[in-house]
Amino acid sequence: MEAHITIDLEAATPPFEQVLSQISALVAVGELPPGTRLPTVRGLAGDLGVAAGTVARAYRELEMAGVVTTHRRQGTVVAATRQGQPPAGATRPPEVLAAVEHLVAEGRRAGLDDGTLLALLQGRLRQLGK
Amino acid sequence: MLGINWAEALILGAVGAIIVAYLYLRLVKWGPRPERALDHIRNHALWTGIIAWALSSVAAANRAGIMPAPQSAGPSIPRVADVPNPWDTIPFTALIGPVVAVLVVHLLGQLSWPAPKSPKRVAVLQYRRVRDFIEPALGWTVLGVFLLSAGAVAYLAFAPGHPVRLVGSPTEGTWHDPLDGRVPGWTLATALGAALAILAAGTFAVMGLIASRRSLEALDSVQNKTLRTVGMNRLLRVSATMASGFAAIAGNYLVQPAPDSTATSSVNWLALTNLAVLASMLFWKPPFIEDVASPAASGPPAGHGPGRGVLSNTGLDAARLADSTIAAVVPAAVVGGFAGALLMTWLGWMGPAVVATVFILLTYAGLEVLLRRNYATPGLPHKHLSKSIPWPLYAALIIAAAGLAIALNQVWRARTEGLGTSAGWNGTGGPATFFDIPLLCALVVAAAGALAAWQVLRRPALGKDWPALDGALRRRALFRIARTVASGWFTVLGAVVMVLPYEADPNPLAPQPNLAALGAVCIALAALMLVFPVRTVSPADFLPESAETSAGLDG
Repeated sequence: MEAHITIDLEAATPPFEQVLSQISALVAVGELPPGTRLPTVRGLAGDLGVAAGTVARAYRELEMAGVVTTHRRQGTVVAATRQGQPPAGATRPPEVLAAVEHLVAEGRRAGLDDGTLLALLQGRLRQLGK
Repeated sequence: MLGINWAEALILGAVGAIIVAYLYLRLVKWGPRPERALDHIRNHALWTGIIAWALSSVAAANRAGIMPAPQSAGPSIPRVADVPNPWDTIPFTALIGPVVAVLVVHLLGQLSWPAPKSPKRVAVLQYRRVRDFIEPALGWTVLGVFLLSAGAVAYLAFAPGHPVRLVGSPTEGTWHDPLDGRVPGWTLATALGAALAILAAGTFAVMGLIASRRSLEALDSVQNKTLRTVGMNRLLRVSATMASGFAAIAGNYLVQPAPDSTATSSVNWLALTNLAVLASMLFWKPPFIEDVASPAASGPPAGHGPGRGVLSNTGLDAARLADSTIAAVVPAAVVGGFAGALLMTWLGWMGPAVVATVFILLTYAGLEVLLRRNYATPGLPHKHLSKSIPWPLYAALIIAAAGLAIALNQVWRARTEGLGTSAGWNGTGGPATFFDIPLLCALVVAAAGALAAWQVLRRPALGKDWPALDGALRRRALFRIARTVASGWFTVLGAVVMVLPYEADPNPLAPQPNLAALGAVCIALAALMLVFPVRTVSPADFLPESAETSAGLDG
């Protein structure tokens, strides 16, 4: 199955952050397994119609977070394990995935779009983080 | 003063008219209507290919490297031919110009796809490699054409030049016509090599661009992939045609007779190869960008097999691959013919014919491997094939085999009992080869046929949703293999019969067998077998399993 990302240029969130968060999310739920080769910076920027620097910044931050690694020959690939964390499989207990599924289903039922759902989740995470 | 070359003016005029027509259609006629976006995209891809094709002719350079001789004696004709600068005989513009034009057209065609305009942008997180968008059969064929052309250019580099021969009378009572001269081979090889290198490098660069350029937001991921495959297809086809055109120019130079040559005619085999490549590439269809709403694009009915984007087009793609077989078979036969020509010392003219037949059979085997790797479902058994080969083809195989057995038996008798005066096959190797070589050829054809048939029979089924199509494709493959084997056997039979030694009846009134005519009939049968029509795939072949039974009952 192909992994997609969608960015909204009219959203308040900057495009690079949208790219960053969506790739992180896809890696976290296992849709981008370790070793997956990501598109080139120019290729992804061309497809999204944004500047190459936007995607480059997102990739750079992903690399700093240990989500991806960059090789000279292979390009950008999803990292096998995130730095300082257990393997990706261990971070996705079934009950958490079920809760996410439930959140998405309830959000759809309530007529919320993806952006609003994400904003709600991020807002709540920020509240808890303070 | 420069005169007008009307042929060139006509071609340039036609090309100009095509470009103007396209610009009119693109800028005026095809307005930005979202509901027709797919049509516009298809048209853009098509016209890019048409314009590039229209600009791809290197015919203007077909006499590159050849120095024309004055055609008649007269007061204005010099007695001694001038020796021009070799580089002046190379029309660089006519060689390099079309290469640059074709590459630029494809480059612009790719760069002019519209950028995304919607505020919401979607991208597939997938690394795109060039080879993901090349149809394997086409890719290998184009590589073969490029290697053949490079080989011809390398050979050309060692060809000597010779001067123009003027009309004259070297000795009393003899007369010779004027004869064109040619520059040293390395000069033309340098020019053709440079053009070929630019073409290869440019083609590879544009292929990289096709793979990496932005996706179109009006298309989904499957359509975008197909569009890239279409772009690759059109670029590779025109590039292969141009590469073989360069080989044809080299061939035209190589067949130029030397001043002391006694040959009265010559054949430019590389030009014939160019024609075969041109025909193959002209009819090598690119894939069709299906509409998402069309039944073909939506794949099998819901609940039966994978959905769109995974294996939904398996049946259609497999059928298309099987239908494009000729595009791989013709170049294979040409290459086989050339390879067989190298064996003519031992096999005589059977060499090109039999090796070409073996190459065709190996191509069928290769295509079957391709079908298995790309479209078959591993481990899925296929249904038993009934009436896999029609009875006329069985009859042809039996007649050819029986004829070969009788003819070889007669050859064996001639060898052991000393009939006739045969000195051996093709005059070499002694009498033993008269029996051994045809037998070996017949066995090699049979072995290649068995290998190809084995590939067909061991291939897993395409999928549980396409039983009728799977059977139809398997029958068609077996049919093609059987007719090719029969053709190969008839060729060998004809070759043997034509030189068959026999004891002539001493009675002059007794009927004498006309073995030469019989051999010619066998050769004609061999040619006919090769074009024995195979049945086409019908819409009924795409019916799902449940409908197959009723279709079978109906028809």
